[in-house]
Amino acid sequence: MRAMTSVPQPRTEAAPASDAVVELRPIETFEVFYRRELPALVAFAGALSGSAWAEDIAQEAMLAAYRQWDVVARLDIPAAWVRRVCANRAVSMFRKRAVEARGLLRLSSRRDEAEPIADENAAFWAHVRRLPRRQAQVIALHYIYDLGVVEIAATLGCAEGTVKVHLSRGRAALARRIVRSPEEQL
Amino acid sequence: MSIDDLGRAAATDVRRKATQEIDPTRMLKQLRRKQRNRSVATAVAVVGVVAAGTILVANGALPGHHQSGNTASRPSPSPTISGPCHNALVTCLGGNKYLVALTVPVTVTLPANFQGAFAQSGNASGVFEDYRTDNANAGITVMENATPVKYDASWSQDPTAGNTAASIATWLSKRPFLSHTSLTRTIVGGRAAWRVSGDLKPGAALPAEKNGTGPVAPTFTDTPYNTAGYRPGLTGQYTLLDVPGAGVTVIWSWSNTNQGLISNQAYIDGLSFG
Repeated sequence: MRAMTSVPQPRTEAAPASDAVVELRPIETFEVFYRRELPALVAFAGALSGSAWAEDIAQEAMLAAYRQWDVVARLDIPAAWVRRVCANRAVSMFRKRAVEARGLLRLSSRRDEAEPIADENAAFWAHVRRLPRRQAQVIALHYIYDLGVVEIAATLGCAEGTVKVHLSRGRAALARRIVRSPEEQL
Repeated sequence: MSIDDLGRAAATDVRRKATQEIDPTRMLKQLRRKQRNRSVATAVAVVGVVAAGTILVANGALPGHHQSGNTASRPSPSPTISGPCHNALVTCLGGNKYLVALTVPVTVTLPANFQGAFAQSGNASGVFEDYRTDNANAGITVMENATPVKYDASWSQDPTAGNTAASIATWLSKRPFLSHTSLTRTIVGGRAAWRVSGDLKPGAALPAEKNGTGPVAPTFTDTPYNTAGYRPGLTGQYTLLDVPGAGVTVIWSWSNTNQGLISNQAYIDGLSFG
């Protein structure tokens, strides 16, 4: 949650692993985890932030996991932890860059220019990035990782009902924006 | 084509591109190098702080010592490779201290249970917030030049609140949507402050709509972008102080539980202004 634009919402890292001492599954090495999760994480970061910073954001999220791998590896779903970190960093980065860009445009008295769109798929993510933070995260998790409501709620640390609302509102907003005439889009 | 079809096609496309374009082996090496550099940087920063402390002692600049005419060294900004030091808003002062460039700069002594996100939103320069590492539903928002707002949908200033930290704290403690409120005096960063706690009354009206998060009982805003309020499942504690140049500054501690607020306290205790 960004208190700034709104009241606080759940955000970032999950709670550390419990003190339970029984290991029910083998602990994966970070390298195996990294190689398996990185491509989708870069895609996820790119969807939420734009491709220019995707690798950096995914790498920062992985670095955060690497630094505390002994804890993260023992979580039920380590990938959910790193996806949540990535989701928050990606949206923050996008919003920060957008604010900076608007400021620069104001200073130079130019009209706000739309983000260049390469194709229909890129246009879809550009629309997603303009959704409210949580809606964008829920939509990206749903499509990129093919996650359902329960998994998204676990990833973002919020209630399933909240995810349903964001998913529904996000889809509706995307439908409204994408079906408008091309001149109006973005 | 439905939104679902578009979304799935777009996801397939972005995953395919990522798989084609990234080199995990190269990136893994880069990640490990970053971690090594960070460890070295931390060690350098620690040595720097110790050295600076030694110089301060030698110059008699520590409390209880005579101040000489020499200029004591300050710890230089940390050369940390990533994290808060990459935030344009933040100057890393070494150790766990950070200077956040709000209208009036804020020094943060970061507790271990906070991220150091120093996140900003909107185009305001008077607000940042930070988040817990051990609780996804808790954090702190610092809002300079905070405006108390009416209990309606307008997010407009409530003139009955007054314009000092003391009067606004009293106003807040009497908001009709709060119960079990308390108002206490405290000190933050050496300045007098007022702390208000309270719970949202069951069934209280939530007249102000917030983009993306639904309705709230509004409390403060500083611009059209940055707002604070109560909603079910989100409890809060507000600390207010008068900061020259930053008007009434609000430190909003928020969490889904009262225990979460208690664990936020170290962050507030580590704040100073100006």
